Amino acid sequence: MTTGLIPWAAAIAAIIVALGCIPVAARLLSGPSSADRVIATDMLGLLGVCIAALVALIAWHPAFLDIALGIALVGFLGAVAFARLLERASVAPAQEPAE
Amino acid sequence: MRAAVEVLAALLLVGGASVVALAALGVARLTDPFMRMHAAAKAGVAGAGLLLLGTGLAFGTPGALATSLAAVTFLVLTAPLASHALGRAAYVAGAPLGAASLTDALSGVLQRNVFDIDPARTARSWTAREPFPKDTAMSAIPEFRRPAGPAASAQPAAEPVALRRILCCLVGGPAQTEATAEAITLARGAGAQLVGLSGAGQSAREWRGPLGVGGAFWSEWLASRSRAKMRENAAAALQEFQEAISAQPGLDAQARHEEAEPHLLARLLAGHDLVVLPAGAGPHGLPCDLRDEIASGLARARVAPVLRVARRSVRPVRDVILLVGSSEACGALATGLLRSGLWAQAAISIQPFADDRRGVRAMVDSQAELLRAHGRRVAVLPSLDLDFEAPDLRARLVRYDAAVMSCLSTRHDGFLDSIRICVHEVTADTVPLTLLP
Repeated sequence: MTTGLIPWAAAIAAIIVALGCIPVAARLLSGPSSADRVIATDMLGLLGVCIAALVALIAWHPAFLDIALGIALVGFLGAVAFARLLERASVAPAQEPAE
Repeated sequence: MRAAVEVLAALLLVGGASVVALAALGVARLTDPFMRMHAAAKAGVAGAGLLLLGTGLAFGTPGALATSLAAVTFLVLTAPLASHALGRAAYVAGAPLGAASLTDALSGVLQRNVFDIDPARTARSWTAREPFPKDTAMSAIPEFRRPAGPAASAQPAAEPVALRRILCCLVGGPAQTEATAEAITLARGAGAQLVGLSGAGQSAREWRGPLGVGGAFWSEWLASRSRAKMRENAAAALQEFQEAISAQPGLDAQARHEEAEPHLLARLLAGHDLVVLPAGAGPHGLPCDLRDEIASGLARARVAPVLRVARRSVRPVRDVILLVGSSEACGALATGLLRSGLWAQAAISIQPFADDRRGVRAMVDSQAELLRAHGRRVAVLPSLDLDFEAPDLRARLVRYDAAVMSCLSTRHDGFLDSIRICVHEVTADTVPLTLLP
């Protein structure tokens, strides 16, 4: 027999996670340095994993769990690519001209 | 039993969501990128892991449980890697450390650079590629087709300046031996001090354009190859110069090595009365177009007269040709020749070209008069049409030992330039000595 608790818990969790998206989005938009934006993007990917899992629960369809797995995978690759970009594309700080 | 599992799953769901929300709050609220990353990596992964476990338990089927466990395992395996790479990259990219950090354990270990897409704040220095103003002789832009005006006629006196200091650029290449020998002959004849300068005016070629696959690698390769070539050339030329001057005991000569950028070369030249350059001396140590030669840039800078030596003739210079076109600088060729004091015994031919342009006739006449007044033998040749054939001109130029002209090439760039024939280029290729006053 089921308690009927799961849909409620899933809805509450979805609201909490959706609320969590707001500060991350704010950081993504306002992040003073590029590293901040990359971190916020990474965090948004993690939130996407959570949302996909919760959608699986709410729609009661385990196929959405595979989407969570996929987002986690792509998020990792994205983070590594961004790290590489930050490291490769940064240039030595400006020198004071001699005269 | 099932009810207990459901309660546990509900707790995991709400708890995981809360932890993720806290992590999100941390990303927004903490003070520097490294702390924000700490929140995202640890709390974020913990929260997402709890939530995924809760989802798996809530479904209760083996497949869903396996998928969620796989996702958690994957997150736990990759999140440390990703955040470590990101943290390192953020440090290298110069992300600011918060005021709360006590020490910087990585200072001196990793270099801190600047990463910012805003061009006003990037550290790249955009130096002008063309340090000297362009000679606009024969330019298609109308306002640059100025005839010799009052500004050009108010010229310095045409009295010869005694050659006191001669600079010989030791760049290397096939014509270097000739150039060194010519410079030594000139210095002996005039009793001048001779300075052999190697390395200056050259810079490694760096090309950041689209280079197909592996662009950065090939660009680096190109630069290092060009640098190595420059050094080799300079070393060979220096050694040759030393040998040549040690064979001339009475000569006041010295050799210098100076690695200066092309735009600093003009400053090094100040105080020299003549600069002797071998033909084909490019700024990258490799053969290059006439318009990219160091001699070309120096002629445009107009610091000192430049003598470009392609080969030496055994006899003394007897026939000199003056190329007079429509650019303003062409009006000062005779003055430059007289000031340099070179080839006092030679017969001078003035070759006008494109004399339908304004001012060319007047410049030819005034220069012929000036040269005659100084006791030179002058002949004015029939004007050359710009539609000339290069072999004809070559055949006519063979008898001359030296040419005086305002620049080495009047081609600038662009598609049409590749099919144009330039009077200056043909002359510079044919005549052994070229004086750019």
